[in-house]
Amino acid sequence: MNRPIFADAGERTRLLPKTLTYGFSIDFRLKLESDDNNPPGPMVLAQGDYPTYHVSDRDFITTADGALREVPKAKLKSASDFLPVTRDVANLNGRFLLTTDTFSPLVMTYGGVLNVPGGTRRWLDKTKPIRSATAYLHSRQDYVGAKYRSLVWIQLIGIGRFTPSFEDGIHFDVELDFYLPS
Amino acid sequence: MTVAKPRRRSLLDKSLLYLFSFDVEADANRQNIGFVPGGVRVNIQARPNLSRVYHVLRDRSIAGTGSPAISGTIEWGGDWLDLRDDDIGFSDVKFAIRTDDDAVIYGTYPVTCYLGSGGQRRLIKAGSDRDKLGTEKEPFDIPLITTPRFTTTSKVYSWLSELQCMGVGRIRVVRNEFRRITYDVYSLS
Repeated sequence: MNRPIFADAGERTRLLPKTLTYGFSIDFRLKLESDDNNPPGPMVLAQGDYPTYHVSDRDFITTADGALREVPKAKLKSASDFLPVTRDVANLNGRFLLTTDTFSPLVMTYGGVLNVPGGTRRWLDKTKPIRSATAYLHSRQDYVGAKYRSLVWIQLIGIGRFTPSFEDGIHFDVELDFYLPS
Repeated sequence: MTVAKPRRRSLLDKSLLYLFSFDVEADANRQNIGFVPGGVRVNIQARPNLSRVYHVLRDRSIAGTGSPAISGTIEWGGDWLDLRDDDIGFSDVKFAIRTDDDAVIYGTYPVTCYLGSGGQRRLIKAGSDRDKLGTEKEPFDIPLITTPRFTTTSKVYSWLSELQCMGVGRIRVVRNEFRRITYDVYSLS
């Protein structure tokens, strides 16, 4: 039988405290594996050097709970996303593999949405002016080492910008800022 | 040769738009699946029609959008919880909101939470109440951050389908029982 819950079980009139602490950024280029005759397919990482960084060059950040955390020093080794597309929104669903300054790799599994101005088809029309799309994503991390272990305990929130370019196929210049919520 | 792109010196714009809150009363009769590789599995169900969805300021619309505020009940909800051996809880929550104007909104979100050192063992421990997490007087609250997505066929609330949301919440534990789950839901924008 269900027991009664709490005497104070009424609806709240105040919001719970919340904080988003900026953690790190990563900018990279994705290549879309499709052509003019095929709809958007999987995206993979274009060749390049893509390190993580802090926009203010900090090595440590302090989160809302007072914990001092090290900004991850890593490089994006691979990325893939299938970008399932609906009307004006593309669903982000993919993985990043990063090599860190420790022996352990960092895997980020993410999902989210990409808000595309004017619709996805028009966005990828090379005759139209190029506009950026805004990405909102969430990520879970896997990491077996100790240095960045605290990243496994939380979901990161990502705010990003995808800008298409049409040199030698379709590419996206991606800029992402990751936040530690609490 | 690849030329490295210069690093940005400023962050991208971001904001959080408050959408609604909900409080879920968990069914005391949770399904203890038991030990599985890597941890312990537990299924928790919401007590139907006791779990409310509301706007904390009682506004009738979402600030700045003109969209109607969401008010109703959690008609059904379930949480498939994996309490891992490394004291991390993972779960996938699915639920349905029936709004006061009779629309149905389906929601789903993943949860990742740290249970504290030794938290998994304490949560599954049988024995006297003294060894268990939380009491009626001093419940144990686990902070939660989730990332809900919503789907609905209702034209009134179809805008929800295009949002990536963030939930800020707490799960209240009394004598190792998950009692009350409460969230504020924001849209990332």
